[in-house]
Amino acid sequence: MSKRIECFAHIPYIRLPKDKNEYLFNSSYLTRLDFTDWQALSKAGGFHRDDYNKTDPVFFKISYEEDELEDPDELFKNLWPEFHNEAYYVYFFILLTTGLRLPEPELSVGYYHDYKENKTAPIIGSYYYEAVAYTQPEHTYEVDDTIIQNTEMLLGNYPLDLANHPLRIPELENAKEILMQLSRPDFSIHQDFVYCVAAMEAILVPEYIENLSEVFSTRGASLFSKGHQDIFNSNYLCFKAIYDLRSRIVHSENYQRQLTELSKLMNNQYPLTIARRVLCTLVKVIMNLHLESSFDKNFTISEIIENVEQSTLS
Amino acid sequence: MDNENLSHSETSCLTVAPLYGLTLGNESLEVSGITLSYLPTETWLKLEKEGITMDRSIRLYYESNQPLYASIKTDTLDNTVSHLDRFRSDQDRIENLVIALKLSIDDSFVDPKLVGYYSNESFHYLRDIGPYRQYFYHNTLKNNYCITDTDLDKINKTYALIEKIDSFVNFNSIFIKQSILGLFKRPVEVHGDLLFKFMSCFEILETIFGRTYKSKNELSFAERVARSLPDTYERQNTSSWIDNDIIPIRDNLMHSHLSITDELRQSSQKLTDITTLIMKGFIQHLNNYEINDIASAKSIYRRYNEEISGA
Repeated sequence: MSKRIECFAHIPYIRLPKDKNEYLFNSSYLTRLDFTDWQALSKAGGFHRDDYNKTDPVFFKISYEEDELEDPDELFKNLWPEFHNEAYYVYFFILLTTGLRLPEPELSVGYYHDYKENKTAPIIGSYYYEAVAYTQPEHTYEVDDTIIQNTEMLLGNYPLDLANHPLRIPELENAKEILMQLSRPDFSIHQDFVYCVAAMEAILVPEYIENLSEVFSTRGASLFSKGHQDIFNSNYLCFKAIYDLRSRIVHSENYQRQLTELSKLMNNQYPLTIARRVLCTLVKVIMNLHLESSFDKNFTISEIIENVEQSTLS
Repeated sequence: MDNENLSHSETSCLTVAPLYGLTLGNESLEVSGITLSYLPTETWLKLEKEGITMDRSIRLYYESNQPLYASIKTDTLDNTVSHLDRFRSDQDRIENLVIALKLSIDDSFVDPKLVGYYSNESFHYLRDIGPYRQYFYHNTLKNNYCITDTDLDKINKTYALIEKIDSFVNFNSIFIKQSILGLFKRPVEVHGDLLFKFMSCFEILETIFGRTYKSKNELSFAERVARSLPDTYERQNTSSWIDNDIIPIRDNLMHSHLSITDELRQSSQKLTDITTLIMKGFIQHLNNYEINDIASAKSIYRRYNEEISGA
């Protein structure tokens, strides 16, 4: 005999397309929750259906069939961390795919519901109900089929329990922390830009070097271009523009010209969001190289950089 | 409670922001046209209007906690500025006041950006709601700092300096002001804050003192940082501490070769204290400068470095 447990984690600031109620990843879901169902889980009164529907929150959900004999308290202690890890993993891959500033699910609300006992444990983060019930639609981002397919591909290539997981490589782990933490609105868009460049620098220029901007741009462009000279040139200009803008911001110099230049190079994207997008791509490029090496346990960033240097020289 | 001042008319614009963690010894105080006072419940309800759970408990909670608000009221009879532009400009002024309060009296109150800015002009409402609004509707902050008349002089002087910095070329949107805000306590400390605080401090020091910059009398980065501290500080030790402890930690952090240890915790706290002191000294020092003398923020830093170096 088994009993059913459902766990939910709200993923702040994303929404599903109007015609989709859920997306399925293996055995987990990204799903909507009807206002009445959500109220039953949250057990908090006084919310307005209209506010909630306007926010249209998205939850990561897993249903578990568990041994009925297990002590309910023990079950919660064991199951919730497992669910939490998976929720974080999916959330991070959505972040990596979109290149957006998406705050961690832990800051919003989560629910653990035991059907047999008809008991719910709400887990309330420091946003309380702000993100789940009162987010304005203009502050949310729609995850569409393409984003879901790319997220699924990442989940398929890099399962959570993979030995030698690329996200455990120190430089990528650092990039992951920066991408997640700088997503919090406590930080400004300028700080986000600067710290994302710092994370790129930690990957691309691990050694102390004099002509930092030049080396940073050459290595970044080489990694992105895979030997195509024309692509290399345009990528080089982008990396150079990113580093120049970072330096102007950090050293408090006028950077209007650098903002415009970077935006022009990147098809008029808002310049201060570009470092995050490029860092996300850089992380994916390194992860891909790790995959191509069949997750070689001796894989290091220094070795990648050495190869890049050699291919640039030749 | 200054109800009259905060009541709304059809020919005025009212912009407010809560300052959780501060209280007032008086009914209200004014700093360069910004009023610090408590907001009547009805005014608060109108500004919130929608978007919060208006059940009885929230109202009771608001009334029992009575957060302090910074507010700007502007006569809009001859109105040529749009409400949105006015809102943004009011936000900038309140943000400067927040920095001034943090540098002059107490750093433990909450940056209103995290809770929300609100504005009402002719019954047209604008809001920038922060992510932690609900948090402060459900939690009471302890050990609030009480502002009294004796603080007013310090606050006014610091605010005037911050406004002066803003008028320097392109200072408004630069990194250092954001970093100052990032330096102070946040409502919810999460994993990683320690590292960001350490990095924020280092970024501030690097911005002002420039790691590779050499003053005319060849003082190093660490020596110039130490020289900018008050006389009571043991400058020689501070200089070696920066060279031997802080710079290696920062370089390791940049390359993600370090985990959070007790040593890092202590260094981070000490660095935050020192950076806050340096920021206060730097802001005070700017009082000697004339806006017309300053070509760029960089030239401010150069001049400051030369002056503290005694070159």
